[in-house]
Amino acid sequence: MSFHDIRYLKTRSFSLNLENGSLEKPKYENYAGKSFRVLKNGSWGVYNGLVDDRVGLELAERNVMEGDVEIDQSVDSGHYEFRQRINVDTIDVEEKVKLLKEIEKELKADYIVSTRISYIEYIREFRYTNSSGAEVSYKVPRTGIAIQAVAKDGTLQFLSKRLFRAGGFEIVSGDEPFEMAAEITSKLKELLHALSPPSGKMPVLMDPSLGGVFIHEAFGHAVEADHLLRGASVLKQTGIKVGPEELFVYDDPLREEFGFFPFDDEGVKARKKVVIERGVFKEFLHSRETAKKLNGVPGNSRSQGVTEPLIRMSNTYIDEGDYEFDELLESVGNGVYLVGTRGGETNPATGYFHFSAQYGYLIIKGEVGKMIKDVSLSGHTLEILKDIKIGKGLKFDPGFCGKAGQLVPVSDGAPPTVVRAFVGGA
Amino acid sequence: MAGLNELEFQIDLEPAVKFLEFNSDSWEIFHEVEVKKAVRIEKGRIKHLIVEKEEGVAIRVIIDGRVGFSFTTDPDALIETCERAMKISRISEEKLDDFPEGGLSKVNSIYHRKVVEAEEWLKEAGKTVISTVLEKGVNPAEGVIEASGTKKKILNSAGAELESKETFVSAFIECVHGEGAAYDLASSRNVDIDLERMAENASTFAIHSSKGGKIEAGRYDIVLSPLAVHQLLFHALYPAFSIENVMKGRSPLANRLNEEVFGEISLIDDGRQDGLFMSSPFDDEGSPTQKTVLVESGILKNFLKDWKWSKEVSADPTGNGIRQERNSYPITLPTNILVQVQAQEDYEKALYIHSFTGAHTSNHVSGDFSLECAPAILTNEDKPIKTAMLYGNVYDLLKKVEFGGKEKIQVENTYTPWLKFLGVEVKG
Repeated sequence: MSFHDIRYLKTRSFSLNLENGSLEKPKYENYAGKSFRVLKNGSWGVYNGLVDDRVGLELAERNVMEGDVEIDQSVDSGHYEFRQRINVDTIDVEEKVKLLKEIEKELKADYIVSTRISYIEYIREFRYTNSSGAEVSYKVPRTGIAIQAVAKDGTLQFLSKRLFRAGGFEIVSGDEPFEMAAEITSKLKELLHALSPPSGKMPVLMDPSLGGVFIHEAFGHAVEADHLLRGASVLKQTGIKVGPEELFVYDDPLREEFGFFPFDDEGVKARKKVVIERGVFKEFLHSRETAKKLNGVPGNSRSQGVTEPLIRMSNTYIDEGDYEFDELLESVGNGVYLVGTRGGETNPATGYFHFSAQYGYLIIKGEVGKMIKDVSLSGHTLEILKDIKIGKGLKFDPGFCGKAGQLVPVSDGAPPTVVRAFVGGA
Repeated sequence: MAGLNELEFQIDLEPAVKFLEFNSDSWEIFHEVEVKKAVRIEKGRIKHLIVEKEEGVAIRVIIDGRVGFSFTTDPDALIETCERAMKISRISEEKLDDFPEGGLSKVNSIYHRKVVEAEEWLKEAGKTVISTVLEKGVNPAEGVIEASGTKKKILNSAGAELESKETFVSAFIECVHGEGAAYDLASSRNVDIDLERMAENASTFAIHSSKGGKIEAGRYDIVLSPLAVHQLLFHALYPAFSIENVMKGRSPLANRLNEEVFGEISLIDDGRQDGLFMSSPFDDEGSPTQKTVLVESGILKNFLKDWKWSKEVSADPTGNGIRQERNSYPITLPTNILVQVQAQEDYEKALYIHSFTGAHTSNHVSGDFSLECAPAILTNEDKPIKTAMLYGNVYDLLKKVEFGGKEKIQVENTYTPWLKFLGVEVKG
């Protein structure tokens, strides 16, 4: 018996870049693509290209070999359209440019030598059908602004912030981008005189932005079941205790953040997944294939364009705890407070992860002290959550997550948290 | 139906050329088609074979000196795409007077017909990688072997009409052994990559990694593999050679021409060396590729320039107008960076670093990095290291270069031997 599915993708995007006050590299893109998969003899044959369905399926079938692949064939159907409160098409291009120029005024200071503000709107129209009778489609817009500035005073330092979410022009039309720019300006001034960080294992207070990337890198990737299926994950089973009673971690594609999707790229209805409940690892993220093999629930396959769907996170977060910020500081005693992220990387096979903060502060006797720069954090998936202390005030930060050469939009969230990790820097 | 796997254009540009001729001052069409075939390896079996074909058209127009850009893969949206580029140009402050007349450099061995018909070779290659790793008693957990052919064409209102074809083959395998893991990769323009060597490297380092111990913090002589050299330089150093970054205050090399910036090392950008992975007769806006000495024996000699920024600084382009993807504006990027140092057969004591984790988090503006080395090995004691942290600044590090190996390997943009550096701070 064979199975096939077809994905139809249309995207359009518009982007603007204000570089040092000049509107450079404005761009419009209109993409159409199709992907055909045939599962036969336990093997996938795949063809991606803009051809008729019949031809595409024939070309895909030619690539079938032999194997032992089986899949969950659960059938969903439906159409979803994400409503933009302010439709991006109703705002003139000139007005979008004006907004960027207004935001840029917040980046003026004698020590700032370079600025870049980017605007992007992106609409993804997706349709999926398969031989089991599934038929789903959706239209989801994403809009946002990214701000970066470079300061110079002997050394060059840079800071950046992003505001991206699922939705329309309403995401960028409020005060938020102005506040982000003002914060970059004031923090850059301090950063020019920041100290090199201490190194060694120590308590680390992470702001929500860093805490979000932390849970994504330190734990989230190991939860993607394809790693397990390959024998390349430190997380071998659910039900193990990885953190304290108060630790709850979720992956929720239905939350209206940057990683939002209503159906995954295998046509499965999106669901909120409980990754950690009361400190116990509960659930892997699954594709149709890993769900079948490991008795899980599919719905976490995502693709960049029409490339191969891979198991990916969406909006991943540590839920709020009970600690006040001052109590977290006090619990650190002597350590560091780290803010923002420059991205990170993890190896789910070994459990070692590594990522960088944008800047930080020394914490001495429970008090925030001098600023530190170029600071990184590393640790091990199975150790790091054991003594986590969780604060109040959940916030999300958007980003693009890379896996096997594909980038997908995600959002990572956390309240302020404290862990013991290895800190280092230049 | 056979044609659907072939490296041929399907989209007819003629209507777009006529439309742009009539409606814009200057125009450029970048047309590219790619056929890519890949096998994916999962835990010792070939999971699937994928064939994909994508064709895209990128339009740049200049109207009243302002540049607009748009891209499509949709053959039915060609004229709409031209109109969008024109509309965008009205608000653009991206300035250009015209496009390059273009030209061709002579480059050999970048296209091999066999690569485009590589299905059977890919299946065999997958089996070779799997069996080599399994013989070592290691899990070939994840891998991909890919063969692609690309045809690109540039037409513009300055009269450029250029076309070239190239092929590329790449392989990657990540091996897992107990608590250890390691990967390696290999690439070529032809179906001649040494798959066994790649598979053996990855297996050996996965075994090392599983037995890895701790390292005492301190100063060590270190050796970076070609892979580690590329990961570090690509993220922490290469952006500093872009004239755009120099002019925009984002390069620590600004105002340092003819100064000694590094130790005994030369870095040469060469976009026309036969067979290298970024070699091409012309860059992605039609300028002929060339050889540009960036650093000669530690002295900074030149920067890289695309068409736009060469005009800004009244110089000739260096053939470095590269589109990161076919839907991107050309920007200044390196082609092949040839790393030249004093060559030696071997080294004695050092911490050998096979690859870095997190190289993309390096500070490309200051050159500062803090990277996890995974895996690494202390060669004098034959002691594998599970993990070590390397901190520093790429500009300081390149002052400490001692010598390198004799054999050069290309990893993406970087063509380099292993490199040895003296007295680098490492933490456990």
